[in-house]
Amino acid sequence: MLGAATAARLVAAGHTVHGFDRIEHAVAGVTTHRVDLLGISSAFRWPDDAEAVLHLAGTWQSPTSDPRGLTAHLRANVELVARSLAACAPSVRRFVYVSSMSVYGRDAVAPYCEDSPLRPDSFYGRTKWLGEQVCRMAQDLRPELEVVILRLAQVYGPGTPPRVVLYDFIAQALANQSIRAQCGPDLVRDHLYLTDAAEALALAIERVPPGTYNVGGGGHTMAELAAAIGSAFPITTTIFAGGSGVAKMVDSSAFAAATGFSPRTSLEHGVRVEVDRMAGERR
Amino acid sequence: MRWIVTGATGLIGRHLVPAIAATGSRVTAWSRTAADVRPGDGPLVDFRNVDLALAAPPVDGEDDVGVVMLAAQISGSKDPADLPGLLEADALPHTALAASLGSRLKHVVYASSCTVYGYIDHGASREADPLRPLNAYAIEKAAAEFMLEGLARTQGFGLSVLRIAQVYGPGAPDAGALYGFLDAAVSGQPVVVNAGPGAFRDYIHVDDVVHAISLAIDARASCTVNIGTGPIRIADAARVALQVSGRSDDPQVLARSSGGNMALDWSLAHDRLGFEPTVSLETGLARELARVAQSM
Repeated sequence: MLGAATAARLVAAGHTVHGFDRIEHAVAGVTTHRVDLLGISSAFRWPDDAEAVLHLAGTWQSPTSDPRGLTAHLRANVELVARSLAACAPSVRRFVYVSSMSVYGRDAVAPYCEDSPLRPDSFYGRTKWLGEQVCRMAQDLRPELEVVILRLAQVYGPGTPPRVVLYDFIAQALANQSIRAQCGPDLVRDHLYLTDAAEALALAIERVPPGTYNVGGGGHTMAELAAAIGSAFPITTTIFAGGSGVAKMVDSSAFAAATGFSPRTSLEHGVRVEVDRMAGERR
Repeated sequence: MRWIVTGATGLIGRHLVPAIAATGSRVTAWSRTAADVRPGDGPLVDFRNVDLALAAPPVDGEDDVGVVMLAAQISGSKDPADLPGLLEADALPHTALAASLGSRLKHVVYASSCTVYGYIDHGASREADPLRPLNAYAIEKAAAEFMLEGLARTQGFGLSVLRIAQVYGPGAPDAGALYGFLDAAVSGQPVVVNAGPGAFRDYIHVDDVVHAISLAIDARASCTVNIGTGPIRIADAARVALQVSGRSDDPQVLARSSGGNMALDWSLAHDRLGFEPTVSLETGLARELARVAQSM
């Protein structure tokens, strides 16, 4: 969905967009191509007139602990990046790689800055970090290629995988009119609404100087998240189990300074959209 | 316990296999190149022609097994197009091999590389330092470490990751800087160092690497440790090459930038495995001198 939203934003701005995916997605104004990048030959190249590549392909799902799951994850999040870079003809001037705040890891101190130490502790975070290393290596080899790495906070919105705690809270509230949170109220998280993430990706294609940037929604506490969800219901109680957790939030000031970007969707509005959508699906 | 060694006829493997057999352990030695099979290593060694990139054969028997993972494709390439092939030669098949052994697999010793740290400005890299893989090979090594760590946690085998410095010794490719220095020294040519006077690297003799792996096999400690000798200026290494060749002149240091610095702090390997390098560069190069002179 993030790819489709970004493609739509780019088309609306007058760009010519080709979309490549294993699955057919119809997006107005986008020429779609069905291709499995892991199966392409070494001779495959992006279209001759391509000037920029936005690499969003990969898997977000936590790998199963068996070797097939680990292998699939590594291939989707690391090998695919390598193949995507290898497919860049000389006409491609810019490569945008969508990374994740998970590259910082549990030991990082929030809000994370781009030069915070990278010690990813999840396998997913490690594969996203490896993808960044592939991008860095490619730029060493081809200095004229403008590489932009965006480390996104947790993206949510219509069509995004319901894997974040935000959706768990909404589901609980819809079912029980109450939320039980396995954390304390002051725990900090960072959610970025889908259309804001798409805008950031479009800016990365269009004009941000090459480099690595964090993009987040500004951060919020779990109490604020619960309150945003609770405002959509007549009665909602929230029980926090307490306990210490590690704050996860990025410092987006560098990207904001470079592009003027500021998330337009408040947590309250984004949550309301998702509550209404999920409530509608239940009816 | 039986030990499987992949890459058994490479620079390290050809010395490691007889060393393991000498302890009385059975060794199943896998190599892509059947021509290098050496049946003379004794009855405990079973050589098999295996290309891991194609498929790993089933491991017969029901005995407990350990694996020393040496097989890899070494490359200095920074081309992303080369990464898939490097993954196919090391990380992916080694993970599949470990998984296929199931509960029989008790321990893995994985040969990683100092290149995962990338270049440094000074000092020596420690295991907790952030990684900055130097090239596609180093990225692949880091990926293999992550894959094996993930599998070890769920499958329950021990894992020793050894990040190894630049290896030299019998069987080493002649393309490395040390051999360039020896070639020039023996043939009476100027010994030229294409690096600044302060540039440093870390060179370790293959005998010390075999010893480190043997320690890891004995200890079966789950750890990630550096295996090296510490920093030595490249110009000083060139000077040693001249000295063992009987020359008293100095190397010519062109002070041109040629790569960066790499060196390993091996103190954790000392603490966890009792590792200590014993072959000095002077001794190691003196041993290589005869081989280099013979090849000329």
